Amino acid sequence: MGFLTVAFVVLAVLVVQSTLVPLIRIGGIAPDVLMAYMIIWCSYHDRSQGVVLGFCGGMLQDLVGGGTLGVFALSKSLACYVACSLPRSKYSHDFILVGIMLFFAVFVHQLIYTLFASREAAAGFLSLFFRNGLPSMLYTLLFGMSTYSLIRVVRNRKGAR
Amino acid sequence: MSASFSRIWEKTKDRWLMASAILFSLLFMALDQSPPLVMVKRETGQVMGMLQKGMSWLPGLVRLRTTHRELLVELGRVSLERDKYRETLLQNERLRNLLGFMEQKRFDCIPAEVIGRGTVGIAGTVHLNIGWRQGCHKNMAMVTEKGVVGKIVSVNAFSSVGLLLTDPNCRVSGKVQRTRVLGIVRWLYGDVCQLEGVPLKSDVRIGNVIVTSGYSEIYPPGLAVGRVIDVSPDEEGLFLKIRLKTAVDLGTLEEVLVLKNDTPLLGQ
Repeated sequence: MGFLTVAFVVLAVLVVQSTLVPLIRIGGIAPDVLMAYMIIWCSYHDRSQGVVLGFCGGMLQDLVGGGTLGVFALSKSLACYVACSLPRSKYSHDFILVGIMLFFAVFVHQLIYTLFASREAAAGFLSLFFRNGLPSMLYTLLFGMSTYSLIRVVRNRKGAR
Repeated sequence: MSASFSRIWEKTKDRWLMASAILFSLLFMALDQSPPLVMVKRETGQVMGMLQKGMSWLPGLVRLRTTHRELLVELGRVSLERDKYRETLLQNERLRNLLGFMEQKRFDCIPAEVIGRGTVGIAGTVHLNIGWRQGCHKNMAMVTEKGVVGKIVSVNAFSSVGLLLTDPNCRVSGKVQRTRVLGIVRWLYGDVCQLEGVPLKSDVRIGNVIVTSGYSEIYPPGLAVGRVIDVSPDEEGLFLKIRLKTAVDLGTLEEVLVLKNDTPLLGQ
C-alpha cells in the first residue's frame, strides 16, 4: 500500500469519522475509527511506519478537529508505536494478541489525550477519563476488533483462492 | 563510516522517529496559536468541510429516516393530544350550555354523564352515571339545554337507565308552541317522532316548535321536544299526521340533566 493510498484512506476515514460515525454514538460516545484503522494497519507494518502513520494521521485529525494542535499527533504516534511493538510474524495471526495490543494502544491514546484535554476542561483528569475516555476506549476496542475480524475473514478467503 | 551509520540508523530508526514525533507534537502544541498554524488549521478545516459536505447526504438520509419515524410518533402523539383538547373544549362548551340552561330555567337538576347505551333491539335507552345515592329516581325527566331527552326508567345505587324519546315505549304530552294545540309525541323512526291526536283543522305548520305541555308529572311545561318537519291529514281524515324532528340529537348524547320531581313548573 503506497503512501498516497494510505493518505487517501486516512482522509476518507476522517471524513467518515466526522459524518457517519456520529450516527452510531451510544450515550454521546463514538468510537475512534481512525485509531482502530491505524492499529489494524500497524499489525501488518513495522514500528517506524506505524509511528509515521500515527503522527501524520493524528496531525490531520488535530488540524481538522480544531483542538490543540499536536495532541492527537502525540497520542496516536505513541499508540501506534505500542501497537507495532510486537513481532509481526506472531502479531498478524493471533486474534487475542491483536486485541490486547489494540487495548494497550487505545489506552495509551486515551490516557494522553485525556491528560491534555483535562487542562482545558472543567472536570478533572480522572473524572474525564472514566466518564469519557474509558467508554470511548471500550467502544473503539469493540469496533476495532469487529473490523479486524472482518479483515481476517476477507484475507483468509483471498489466501484460500 | 557510512555503512555503519546506515546500520545504526536501521536499528534505531523507529526510536528516532518516535522521539521526533514527540518533539514535533510538543512543538506544535506550543505553537498552536501562532498565525501560520492557525491559517493552516483554517485552510485544512475548509477542505475538510468541502469533503464533509460531499458526504453529508448519507447521514442526512439516515437521519431523514430516523426523523421521519420520530415525526410520525410525534404526529400521533400530538394528534391524540389535539383530539383530547378538542374533546375537552367541546365538553366545556356543552357543560357551559347546560349550566346556562339550569340558571335560566332555575331547574333543580342533577347533571349526569351518559356511560352507555342500550344495545339490544332498538337502542332507545341510555345508561347514566348517577343513581339513587345522587338523588336520581324513577320517572325523572332527562333534558339538555336544547330540549327533552326522555325519562328515567330504572335506578340503581350509582347508575340509572333512561328511556329516550326515540324508544317505542316513550310518550310525551306536547303542544304546538305557537298555537297551543295539544297532542301526544311518540317515536316514529330514526330521530323523527309523531304528534298524535291533533284535530284535522288545527293550525300547525312546518317549522313550528313542539314543547312539553306540562300536563304530566314528569316533564315541566315549555321544554322543546322537536320541530315540525311535515304536516298532512291521516288516512281516516280525522286527525293531522304531524312529524317532528327531535330537538336534541339523541344519537350523540353525552351529558344530560335529570330534573328533580319537585322542580317548579314554568311560570310558577
